Amino acid sequence: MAFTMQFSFAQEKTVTGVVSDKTGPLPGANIIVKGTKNSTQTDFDGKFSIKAKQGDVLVVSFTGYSTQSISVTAASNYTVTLTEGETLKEVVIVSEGYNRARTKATTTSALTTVTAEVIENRPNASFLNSLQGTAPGASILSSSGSPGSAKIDLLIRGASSLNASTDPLIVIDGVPTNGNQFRSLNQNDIETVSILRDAAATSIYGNRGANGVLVITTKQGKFGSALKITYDAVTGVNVLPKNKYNMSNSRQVLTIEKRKNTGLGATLTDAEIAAYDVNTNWREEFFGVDVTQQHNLGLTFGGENISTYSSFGYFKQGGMVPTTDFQRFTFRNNINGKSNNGKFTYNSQLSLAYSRRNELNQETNDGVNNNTIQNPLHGATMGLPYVAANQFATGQDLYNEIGTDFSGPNDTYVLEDILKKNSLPSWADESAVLANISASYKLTKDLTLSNKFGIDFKQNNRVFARAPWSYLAIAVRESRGEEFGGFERISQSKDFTFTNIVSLGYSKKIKELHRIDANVYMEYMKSHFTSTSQTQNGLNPLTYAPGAGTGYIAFNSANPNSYLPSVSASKIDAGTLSYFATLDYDYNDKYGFGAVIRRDATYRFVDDFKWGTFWSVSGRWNIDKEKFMEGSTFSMLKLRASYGTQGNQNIIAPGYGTNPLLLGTSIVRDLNATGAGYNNDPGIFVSNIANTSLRWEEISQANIGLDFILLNNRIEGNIDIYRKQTEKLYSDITRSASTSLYSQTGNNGGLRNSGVELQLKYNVFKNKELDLQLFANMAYNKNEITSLLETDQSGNATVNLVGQMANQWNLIPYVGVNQANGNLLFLDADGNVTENPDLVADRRLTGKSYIPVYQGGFGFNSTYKGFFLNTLFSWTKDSWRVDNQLAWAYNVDFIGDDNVSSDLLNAWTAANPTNFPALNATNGSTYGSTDTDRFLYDSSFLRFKNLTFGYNFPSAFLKGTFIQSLRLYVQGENLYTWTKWRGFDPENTQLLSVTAFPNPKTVSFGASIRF
Amino acid sequence: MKSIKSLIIILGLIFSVSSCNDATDIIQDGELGNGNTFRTVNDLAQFLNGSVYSSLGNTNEIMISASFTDECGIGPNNGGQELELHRFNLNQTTGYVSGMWIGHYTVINRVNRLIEASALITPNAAVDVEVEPGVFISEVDYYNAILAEARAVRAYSYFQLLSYFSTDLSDDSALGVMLFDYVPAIDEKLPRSTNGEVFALIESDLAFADSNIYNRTAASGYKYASSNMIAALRARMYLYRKNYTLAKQYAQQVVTSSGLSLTLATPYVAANFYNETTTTNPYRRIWADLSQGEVLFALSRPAGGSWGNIAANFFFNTTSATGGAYLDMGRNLFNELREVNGDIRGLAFVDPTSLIDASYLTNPAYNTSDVLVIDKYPGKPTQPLRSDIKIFRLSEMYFILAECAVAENQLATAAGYIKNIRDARNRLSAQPLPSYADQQQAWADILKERRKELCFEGHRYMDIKRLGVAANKSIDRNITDDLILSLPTTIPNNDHRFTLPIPQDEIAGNPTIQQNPGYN
Repeated sequence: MAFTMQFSFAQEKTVTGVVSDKTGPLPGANIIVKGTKNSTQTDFDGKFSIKAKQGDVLVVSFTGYSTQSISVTAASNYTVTLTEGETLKEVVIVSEGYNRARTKATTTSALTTVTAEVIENRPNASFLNSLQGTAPGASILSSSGSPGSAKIDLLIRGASSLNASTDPLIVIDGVPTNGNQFRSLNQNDIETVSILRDAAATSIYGNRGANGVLVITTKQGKFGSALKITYDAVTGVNVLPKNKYNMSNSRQVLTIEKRKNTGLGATLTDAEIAAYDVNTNWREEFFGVDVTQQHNLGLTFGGENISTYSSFGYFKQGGMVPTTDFQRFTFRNNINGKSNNGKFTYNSQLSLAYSRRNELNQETNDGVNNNTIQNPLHGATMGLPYVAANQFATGQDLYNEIGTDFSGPNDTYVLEDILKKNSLPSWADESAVLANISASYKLTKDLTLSNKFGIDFKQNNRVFARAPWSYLAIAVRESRGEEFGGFERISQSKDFTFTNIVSLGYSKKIKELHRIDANVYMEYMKSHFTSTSQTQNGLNPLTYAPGAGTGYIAFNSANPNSYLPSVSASKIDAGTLSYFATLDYDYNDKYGFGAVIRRDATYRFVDDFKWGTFWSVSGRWNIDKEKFMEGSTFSMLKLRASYGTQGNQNIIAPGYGTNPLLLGTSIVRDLNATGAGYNNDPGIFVSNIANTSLRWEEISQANIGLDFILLNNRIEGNIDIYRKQTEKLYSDITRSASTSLYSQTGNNGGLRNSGVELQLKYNVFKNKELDLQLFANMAYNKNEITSLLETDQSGNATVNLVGQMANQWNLIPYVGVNQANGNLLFLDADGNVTENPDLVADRRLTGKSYIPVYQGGFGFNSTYKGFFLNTLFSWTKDSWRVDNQLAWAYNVDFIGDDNVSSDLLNAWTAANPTNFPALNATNGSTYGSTDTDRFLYDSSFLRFKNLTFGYNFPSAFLKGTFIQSLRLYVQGENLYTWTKWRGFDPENTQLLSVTAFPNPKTVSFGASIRF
Repeated sequence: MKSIKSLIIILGLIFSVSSCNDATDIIQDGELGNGNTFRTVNDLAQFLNGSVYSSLGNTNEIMISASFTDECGIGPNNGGQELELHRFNLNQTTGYVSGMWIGHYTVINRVNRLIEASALITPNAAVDVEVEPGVFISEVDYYNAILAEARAVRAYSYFQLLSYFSTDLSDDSALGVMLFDYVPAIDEKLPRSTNGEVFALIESDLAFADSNIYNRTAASGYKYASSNMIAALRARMYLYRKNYTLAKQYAQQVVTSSGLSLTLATPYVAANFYNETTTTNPYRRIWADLSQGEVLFALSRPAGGSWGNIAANFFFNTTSATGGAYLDMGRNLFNELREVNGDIRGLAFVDPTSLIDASYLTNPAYNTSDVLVIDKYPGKPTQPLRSDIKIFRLSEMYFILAECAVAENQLATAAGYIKNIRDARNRLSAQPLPSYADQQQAWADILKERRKELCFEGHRYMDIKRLGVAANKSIDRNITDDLILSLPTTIPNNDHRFTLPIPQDEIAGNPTIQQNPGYN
């Protein structure tokens, strides 16, 4: 025995060699001795050394190149030249969540996978912003460009509900998350994002997959790989986009005031106006160019049985409004391990993040959206340019001057005071832990038992205050007749979610032809939320410091309505339980069949409605594998079809960044509550009137798709056609006032989304010198309400009617100006021109809604001799919103009080009969911005979303340094937007314009270094 | 086999750890179900306090009168507020209409819940309850008194609904409002009952209330239903129904037995008149919520807590010229308040910071030069926009007596009641006895005096509806009450808009309910 051993060792020798491509040595190529775990990688000079026996086969591979096999002969030195392969032929693994990972050829689902390159180093705090335009059918629209904002609306295949959450489920490393707030996720940690759209892919997520699923996998180390260190740094500037309201300068607005005979302009002569030289640009006073930067350090390493990925990230984005910014620190450690025999594997992902966001009150308080005093976007457009900025050093000075009169320029002065540092301190810190550990054990060759356990913990600490020296505090103090003003609210919330998934998988291949995969799962999820809040009223300016607890004025019973602190707390528990099973069958990679069945229970419903059953079936036919396709141009041609059902139990759409599972906790129960009653004596209130028949919203979806790769792998694409039907729609049930409710949360109606999605890639050139790939995707989605218990809505600005699109604008047509008197003209219901339409009877359906019908993206990726140039454009079409900011800029009643558009200089007069209403039109402000279609604008846009231009230094240049690769680039985000929309930013899912803090234009410079 | 066994063990372990119904059978901590809410009479009292009185308000009625008729002008800080309604766009989507409808139906729903819950509790006649410090009544009386207050409030809410939504209150067969005296099912869809049917319930509620009411003796007693409130409501109801005999009877009852008298305009000390804590003027003290004065029933809006701010319907910040006035006083109302020398109302209802521009008709900047600041609700210390809402005052009883006299063609008697009011409201001298040549003159004078006395208390809309035709008067605005001088300042006094439309929100949940004429 000993002899044999010795003998066999004697046969093993050290084989060395060089791996290169056409241009030179190739560092980092993998060499593995076939049939063993014995592997190595080439060094910087492309050299390798490995122990092997004569007769062994060395498999040499490198991403992007064709893999070569070399038989070990008597020789011990080999030169291997790899040729660039067809990357498309790579076995791309697409994750469909849970234990399902497939290749492109064998998936039966409609899905798109976006890889790290698209997301890395983009100047966006949330990775969702970076996904815009990259996947068909995924509409990603940001409603706030405020840094770190959670206001991102993500829709997959249209909105499948009216009232309920339409956010897709986001799964990170196999653990479903709640909510769409990802300010704590470092986008450079993401390896892939798969966007699952049809029932074949999403039914496995049963209770929460109805709105589509995003499956995110983070970066992992590979077994048996050398230490790799990457460092990325990006720094850039943010700029507020411009609007096209043509706001007036001083002389223009004074002229308009003079014509309207109001305000300062009415008191000046033409000559004085012409000589007027104060011209303040309030936009520049309130918004500045701001800096963004990020640093990411990543380390990957793999031993024989363990591999790790660790990263540390820092991200900072300035908010353009001087008091706002966002900073984030992230740390991640991903570990994979396995036992020597490979039967036991485990992996864990741990991510820690801490971020601070200095934010405007407007970001979390919709109440001040329309407030010219508290929303800087209004100040920037509506501030009167003929008054000087920075006239008041302190809030007290301002109060002494204006009292609480906000007319004329005063509101802008107040805004100036609010935006002073520490006037209204407002910040929110988030500490987040996202961690999971999973382990599997191969019981037999075919049977694997796994358990995954994950926690998602977020703690939010918020400080919001009105400092005692701020104007607002002084104004309130004076009106209440108190000595001390100001308040400080310190609040905290904790959101902890625990998920456990246990599964048993069976996988068997029979005669190399039949392959069966079957899995059963149980998923348990529980969320615990608590919050506390304390508010102190009355602060002493001598000692007050934001968040420090100093300067609090003590309560005095002699003065019972002043300085009364208030406290509050809340606690919510929520949970779901699911059992499900999947079955997949494949015949010789030619035919495939998949099925999912799932039983879900939620804490929200009662009795018979608690459990829902959801299922799907899907199949594929890889036509290219058929005999008759031999020799065709298609390297892949696959037909897919699926049908399935899913449920939604998130009855109430959550606010941005909040957990939908925590809402609507007690709708099914009649409840009373105690508290302060009439005259502040103790009282009992009716706090909820039950809807005991509340049940699962059900979505069924049919999908047919075609995946193809042809022309020598130059063209790749997919087409999908789908129909998605929602029944038992979550939509308010209208009630008679006798119940004390006009509407109640419940199941009411049906909604259908049907559409087409297309994705194409075309490799125009593919060689070492020049590489050019064009890509495009687009989606069309038609939305129709199929049933609804809702009657007359004729007086409403937006309506939901059976047979029509959801949220359809219902407005009176504006047709122009009466040339006889300058009044506005409208059409009544009978099509007659009128100056005084009826606000109920004369509204009509427009066929327009704010949700885009078409959306997509396109661009190209190119490299030429180390230079690279990538572009991404995104677009939407057929999306209509009311520009109420423009309505204000056109409001003749605001003349003298606020700045208005210089378009008003062209207003109708008898001498100058234009088609712009007269300044004294008698119906000029009778009709609001959501009464007529005068301000209904097409917010379709084509946006130059991203441009990256850079240079990869050649390895020859870096030879002899410690640097393995170096890449420098400049990048532009939101560079230019083509749109008919006149406001700051068309990208928004809000009905109106004033609610949106626009997305900034960012230009940044970056470097990526690999050691 | 071995692996199967270990599989079963492992699976069993995992399921036993995590498979529990605790994820799906969750009742939130602190929930209070109907089953354990009502255990004692005191729980009924707390429900009356928390659910019935707290739901009651008449801000919508106040604003329908203020904005739609002729009490308000557009203030200097208006950013579009109230313009639609002020320009006579009153329709089924008008917010106040919808708010008034559900507001009163919520009160009715809560009273019905209280009555149903009361069946669960049997009061003990042998037990005495301390209802106010030092005052003991039997638990049975306390129990009945709670129901009496609730039913008086329900009668008030039904009457408000009928007043605004019925085309003709004096016609018992005219269409009234939805009527129910039980807790409706969640999908209840009721038709409108006739006025007569609704009045039957109101009358039975008031009869029960009158014989079971406990009149609270504390200083805040007038902020709860009381014998005075019940009689005043009856007087107003019979007046609106043109049953002058009963109207007179109940108004007289209040005048003689309420123990209150018309609040006087003197003493008047200019130095403290407007001071919200030290004013010595009895009439001004009513509006500063310092004294009950002649108030028969008011809704408490204490400074602490999150109660509605009535003056926030006119101002953004404070009740002053620089407090963000988006509505101010209509010029014609102001002129009437100031037309008689010494009329305390010309001071009490107008804030001293007002900018009064005598050339308002010719000054193009009238909107900012002529700012007539509404001060009927001057606010409370620390709550500059919050005041109690007065529902019934003794003055109204005098007007009711005057109207009854006119209806009986006793014009001199009517003039006497009007003089009573004018005397009480003048800080300088007694006022001459008016002389009416005919009923129309008398109606017109009563309408005018009601306008002055009851402005911003939610009467004007109903007054024009009731008396407009007989007095040959209608909405009476000044052209400067709007930003645009060329807009109409009135509508005919028989316009369909003097009956409110059934709100769209109701029709959505109750599609077959009948709409009022004139609204499509």
